[in-house]
Amino acid sequence: MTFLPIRARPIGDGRAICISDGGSFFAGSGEFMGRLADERLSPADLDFLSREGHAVEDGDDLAAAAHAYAVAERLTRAGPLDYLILVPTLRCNLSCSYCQVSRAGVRQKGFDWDEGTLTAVLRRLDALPADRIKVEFQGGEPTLRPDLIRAVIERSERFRERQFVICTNLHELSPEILDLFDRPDLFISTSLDGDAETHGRNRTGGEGPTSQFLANLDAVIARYGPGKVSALPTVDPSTPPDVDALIDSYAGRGLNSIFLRPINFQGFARKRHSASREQSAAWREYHERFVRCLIERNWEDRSRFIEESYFSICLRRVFQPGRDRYVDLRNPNPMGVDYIVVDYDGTVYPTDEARMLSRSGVIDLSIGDVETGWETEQRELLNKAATNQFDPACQRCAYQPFCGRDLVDDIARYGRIDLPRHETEFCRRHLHMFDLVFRLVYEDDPAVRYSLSRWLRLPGTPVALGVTH
Amino acid sequence: MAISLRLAVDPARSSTAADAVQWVRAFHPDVSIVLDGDDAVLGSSMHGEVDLRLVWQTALINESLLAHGADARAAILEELVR
Repeated sequence: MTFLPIRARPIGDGRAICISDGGSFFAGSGEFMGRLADERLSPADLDFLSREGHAVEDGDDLAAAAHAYAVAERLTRAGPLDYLILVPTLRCNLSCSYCQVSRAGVRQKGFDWDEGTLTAVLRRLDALPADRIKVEFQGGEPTLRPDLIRAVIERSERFRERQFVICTNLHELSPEILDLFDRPDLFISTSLDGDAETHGRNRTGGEGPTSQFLANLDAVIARYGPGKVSALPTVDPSTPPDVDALIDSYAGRGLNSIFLRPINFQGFARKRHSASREQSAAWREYHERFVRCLIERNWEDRSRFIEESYFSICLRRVFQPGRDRYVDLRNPNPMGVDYIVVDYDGTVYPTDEARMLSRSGVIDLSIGDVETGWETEQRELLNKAATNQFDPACQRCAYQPFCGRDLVDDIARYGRIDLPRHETEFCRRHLHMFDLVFRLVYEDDPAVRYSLSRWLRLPGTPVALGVTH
Repeated sequence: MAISLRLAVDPARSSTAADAVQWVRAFHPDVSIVLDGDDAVLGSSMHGEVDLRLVWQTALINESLLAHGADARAAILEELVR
């Protein structure tokens, strides 16, 4: 008997994509799909499926082992804790309308790490078994407490590989902050919502602060080069900016990655942007237009390439198994294992979004605290459902090997984790993303192949990125 | 313009077809589908006939291969987590 571990989905050009559980794929012609549906495959079909690793014959141990290996490659194996998101302060010097964490006012007391929390964080760093570490400083505005950032960085010198990211609004650039930024292992992440008017409307609230931010952004890019600085736009899907203008605001500064992010249904946005619970078809059309505009621009000017970061993440999930460190898109998605979030009061959360939900008073998703630990019943409970493997909808979805499970997103939007998957925004968003990936993979256009190859970091551009049968 | 497509269902596979109908509705909200006797009737104002046929075929394929491969898939996962 032949085991065909594949699932199929139309890709809109008279063909359907067939994807094996291990993630290898081919486009099936209408005729082939008809034969497969009618269970009357030809010897040539069976030969193709077997040759390409999409069929496993009974007793063929080598094919079975190869298939099992491919499936294993698609499953996340979380290593030891080596990624910490630290929130040394919840205070912020801006008040964005869609602030995800409901930040505290800049002069409020009791929203910074106290001495005990700092000591506990440093002790945890000392105890980490890994020889590499990534620390992301979030907030509030973490640069309000450069002393705490410095204490963590100095304590992390023992790690062979280390990377620090400060997520900052770049509102203030003091000599002390610049001294931190000067470290070669430190990267700067900020928000740039588009042109000055859009950014001012969404975030800085006036011409003066907006000019100050843009001057600071340009100053750090001039000082360090664009490779050290990343920025991402938060877009209000009800009034998205002009695609070219948004790209220009990044490209003009030498920033080549744009993580197109609709308002997150978290924090203040839950009330002020309640429509952000679900993304509309109009948003998805905007996203596709954005990606296609990048393809066109990359083809016209091949001296550089620009990417939409999340599309690239999804694309690499298809072609490069083991890309599991983007923790919102992996399967299983174990929580509180290889990364954690430590809040301003020492509370430990499994994700930054879990912190946001707790801060908004929606649900307490904390899994412990930095002093006493987070190997708790709460963590265990969350991890019982942290896979897409056994979900009825995911079992029928061709994209399951590439997709993930984000319990916290479901809780944020619906207050539950047992909604049928296809009724969730997570599912709809990723169906759109992977549909777009495969439509582009099979589009017979050198400009498309050129961009896809750059986004995959391939040295050249193949004549085709996918097999057809 | 709305397109409608009537496709014959093998009576021996009526149970698979009934399940497939459910998942067409789930994954393709822009497609209407009902079982009418031994036929599946699909409709859409967004998709042409070729697309509709593929929507139905892929749903049937997924149901059928899911049922046939359930034991093999379970065995592989069990082996991997052991």
